[in-house]
Amino acid sequence: MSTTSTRPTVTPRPAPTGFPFPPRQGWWRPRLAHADFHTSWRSELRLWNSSVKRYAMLVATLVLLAAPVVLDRVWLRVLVLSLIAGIAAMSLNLLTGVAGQLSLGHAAFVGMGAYTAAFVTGNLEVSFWWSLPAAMLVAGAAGLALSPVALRVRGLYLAVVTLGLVFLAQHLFRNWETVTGGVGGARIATPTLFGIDLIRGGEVGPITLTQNQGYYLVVLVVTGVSYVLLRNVVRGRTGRDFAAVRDNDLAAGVVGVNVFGAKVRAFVLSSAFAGLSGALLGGFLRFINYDQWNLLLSVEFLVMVALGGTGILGAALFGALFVTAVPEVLDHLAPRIPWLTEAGAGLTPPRASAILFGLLLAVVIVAEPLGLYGLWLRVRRYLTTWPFTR
Amino acid sequence: MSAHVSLVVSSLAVGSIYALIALGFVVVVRASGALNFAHVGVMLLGGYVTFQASRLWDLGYAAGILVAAVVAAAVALVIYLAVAKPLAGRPVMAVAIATIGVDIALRSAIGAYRPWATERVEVGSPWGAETTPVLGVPVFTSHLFVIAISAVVVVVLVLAVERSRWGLWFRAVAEDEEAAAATGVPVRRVLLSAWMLAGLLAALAGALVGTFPRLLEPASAEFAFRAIPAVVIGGLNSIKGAIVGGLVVGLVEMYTAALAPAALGVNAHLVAPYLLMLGVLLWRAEGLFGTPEVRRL
Repeated sequence: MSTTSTRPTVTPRPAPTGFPFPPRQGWWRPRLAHADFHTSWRSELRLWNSSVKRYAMLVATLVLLAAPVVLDRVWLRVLVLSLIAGIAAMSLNLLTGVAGQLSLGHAAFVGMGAYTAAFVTGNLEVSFWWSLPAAMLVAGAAGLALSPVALRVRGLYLAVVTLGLVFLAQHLFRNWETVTGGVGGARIATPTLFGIDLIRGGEVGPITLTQNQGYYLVVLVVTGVSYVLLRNVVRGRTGRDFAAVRDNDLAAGVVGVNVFGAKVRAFVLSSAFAGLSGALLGGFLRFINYDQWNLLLSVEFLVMVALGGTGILGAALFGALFVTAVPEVLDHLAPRIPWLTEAGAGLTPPRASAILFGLLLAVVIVAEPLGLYGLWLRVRRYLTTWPFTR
Repeated sequence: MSAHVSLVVSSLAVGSIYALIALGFVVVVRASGALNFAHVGVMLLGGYVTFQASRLWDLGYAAGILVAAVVAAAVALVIYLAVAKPLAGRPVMAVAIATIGVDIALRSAIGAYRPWATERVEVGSPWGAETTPVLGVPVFTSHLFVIAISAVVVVVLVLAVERSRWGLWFRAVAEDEEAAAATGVPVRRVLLSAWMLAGLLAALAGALVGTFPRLLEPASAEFAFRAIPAVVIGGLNSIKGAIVGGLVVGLVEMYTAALAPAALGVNAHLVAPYLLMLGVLLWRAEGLFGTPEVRRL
């Protein structure tokens, strides 16, 4: 007896409706991948591990590339300064936020970078561009010299050592006159590329660069490259070592993390990028003085990190933008606000912004430890769970 | 010889101010576990309130210090309630960073207040440039009074911590907050009083920082920063260490100022404490009298 056994017919599943997102129907309808849900380790470890991040990065790049066309030289200056400060803030975030080593001495490393730029262009009389690697080497070496101390002392003691570093470095900047120019300060040669003064501007073929535009583009590229490099450090093995050391260095050592190596790498990387930031800053300001590398500058870097989001590398860039822009905005508003004096004694824009930053640092730490990133997380949670948001 | 007598006296005067500031740091470290960087700003505020009360309101030096002590204790209390208390249970580093913010805000506000910050001021001490012979060497009378005042305060503080009921509570809370609470110690009140005590010490130190031959200016805050090496040299949680550390830093600073060769640069004495601190930390990571940290997983 032959029966024709009929296999159950496989009805093709209907195409997913993809609620709440429609299915992909073309490049203009991207499938949204969520940053918290992944189907493979590979996908989680990607540089930009959600499609929102990828599109945000694209938009940010376009906006930053369009900025020099749209902004006038004053606001372009603010943007240049905040990108430069952003490199230093990211490097501090790597050291303090990711590796958990509180440093109050970041201003010293940035200062070293700036003075290296002055030495390279002034005493050695070579092009400004040599000062970028030189500053990274010098500041990185200083970080290497400090790192044994970091293994010996921990926590608050380390914070105090780095506090002392600020004062020691300022003393050095002031007194080592043959290298730093002493009280008179130091000059840095104008950065030029293909014979064009990048800060004043000039003609490149058919394009005319106005003031700050050229330097802005250079700084943008350097910041972007630094971000990708540091981001790669954080998402890789080294970054995981850092995070383990931050969370509990004793436990990290027990499970086989090379604690000393991790601390050394954190200090060297962080101070090298701080030096890079210093050299870029020197190239932009073109005149530096010993008293600008003070504790307040270190605290400003801390504010950038805490405000952006401690341990979230790119968030420091937003913190840097805020911290750099506020004094400038207050400067513009000073004539209109009666209790704000424009210069000299009294409540000047720098003092007013220092008061604001100080209070903000305390408020952020107490109320929202992850800073702006924490706020963004709340917004994201609201949006991604939208119809079911509590 | 005579040079050494005046040097030692001035070192002891400066050193005892450092010791007072350092004690303020240590009291908070013992109570809350964190280094309270806002102590620097509170010290500056104490100095300027003394100046305000003693010179501008004409109340006299002693009354000025009293007013400053009340104000500084109140400010320290506010800082505790606003920053340290909500952060209880979080890493001590969070308290340290938050108080750095408070310190910057406080000092910038003082720097922006015109009646205080436009020029260097003396807080209105009664001794002026008067001198008293010590071993036949004339030294500033104010130095001797600074040493005497600090000595009295330090002795009272040590007695209070070692002998009084409050001191017993304080030491119990420093040892283990939960265990202390379980045995009936009013932990909340002890913490409040410890922070207020630190404010009080800061105010007194601020007044002495502004006492002739020193003048008060916003940059006087560095005085309090140099007391941090004193705390660290002595050990973060040791009262004895703060006193010894303060005096050592005073001696090192004054002797460097007098003896350092010009090659070390201008103001080498102001960074000498930090170098000394680095050396001590590399030798003994917990300072001279601090408790070595015992950690377990």
